[in-house]
Amino acid sequence: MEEQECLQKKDSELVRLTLENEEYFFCIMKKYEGPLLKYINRITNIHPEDAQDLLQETFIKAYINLNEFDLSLKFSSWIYRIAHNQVIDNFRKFKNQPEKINSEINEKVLEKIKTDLNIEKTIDQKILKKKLNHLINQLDIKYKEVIVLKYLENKTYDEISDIIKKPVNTVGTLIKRAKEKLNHLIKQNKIYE
Amino acid sequence: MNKELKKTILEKIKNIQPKAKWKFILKNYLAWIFGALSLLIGAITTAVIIYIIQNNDYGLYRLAHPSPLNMVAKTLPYFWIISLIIFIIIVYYNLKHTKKGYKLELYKISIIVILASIFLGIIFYNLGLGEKIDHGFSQRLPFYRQMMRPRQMIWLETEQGLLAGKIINLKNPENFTLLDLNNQEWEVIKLENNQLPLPPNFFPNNFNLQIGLDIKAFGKKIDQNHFQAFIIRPLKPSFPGPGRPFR
Repeated sequence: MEEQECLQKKDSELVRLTLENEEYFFCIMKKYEGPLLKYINRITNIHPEDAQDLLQETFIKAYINLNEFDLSLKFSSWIYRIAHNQVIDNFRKFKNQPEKINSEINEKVLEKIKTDLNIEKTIDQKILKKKLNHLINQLDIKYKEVIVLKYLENKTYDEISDIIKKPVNTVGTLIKRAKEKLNHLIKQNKIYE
Repeated sequence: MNKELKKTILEKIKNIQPKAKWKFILKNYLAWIFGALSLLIGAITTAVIIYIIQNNDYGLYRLAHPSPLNMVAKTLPYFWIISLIIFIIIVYYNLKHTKKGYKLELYKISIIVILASIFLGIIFYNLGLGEKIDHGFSQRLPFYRQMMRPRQMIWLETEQGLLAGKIINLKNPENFTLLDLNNQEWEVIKLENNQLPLPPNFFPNNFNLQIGLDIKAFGKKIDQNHFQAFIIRPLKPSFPGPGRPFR
């Protein structure tokens, strides 16, 4: 399967083609391996090998349940949901693993979080950027996940609702609480100048 | 993800078949069907609750006890109320497991299910389903009779002037023998009492006593076997006439 050929096709078409010929699943993997691996890494603290295992399980589950996908949903929401379920199923396994800090929060994401969280301007930018991952990692998984989906994965409330299978209003409440908790952690960690 | 891993996944899925589409469709339909069935049973349960509450003779009881709260507590159909709660939970569970069920919020589903149960329950009650089920269960299920016993025991408070049972001998319309719910025989004399605080149309004038009829009475206990009845009403609430609804 040529990479170019994969990228030209729509998700729904790839699903249809995969159901006819499993070779096309390569295209789905090619398209979603990066985003899903990032997502898994962002909401868990697991080692890269474990993240790869989770990704593999996610893809196999997606293939088995491919007929469940219908066009009323975005394919990305559907496959993220499977990854979300895999993470939740394996949550106990990696709960006690040491925290892994990654510095993937760029200026744009940082600015968005700052505006949304009403973080005061006096805050130390460099320290905030450095510590934000660490603080997000301290959040409970249900809060961490919505923060990751909203700010790092740029998902809408509707998409988050489809991924975590919760009503849109509940998503709103979770994000509001997550922001409150994050704000509290920022203050607690004395990031302010 | 490295190429090797992609290759491994492709190798693995070669030996796996995706689940058939009909399985997902069936799962969704089953959730709807079980949800609808549970809603239907919940509505029938509501009809029985309405029937039982509607036909608790709070008016007659109030003549014996000034506060009806005691009777309300004793006669609430707990079995049916618990059943209704269980069926509402089952409806909620099934709706949540439909394809888009996760979009529905708990309070919205609860309100919809409760309102639908009440609405359908009123229809079923008016169709006589509540009465049929209560009577059917009473006749066929011993455990149900046992559960409903506290509700009947109220009519054995003869010291308070309450008595209920079956007419087994009718000497004349004013004098008969009654077998109470504890299988004790009572000689009952009907006597009107104008001193009672009753609404003008309370007495069921078109009510004929006959052998085999279940009745309830308010009056006065004379001794261990004699009872003076001021008001007599059928125990079965399907009794027509102006005396029935008394609040």
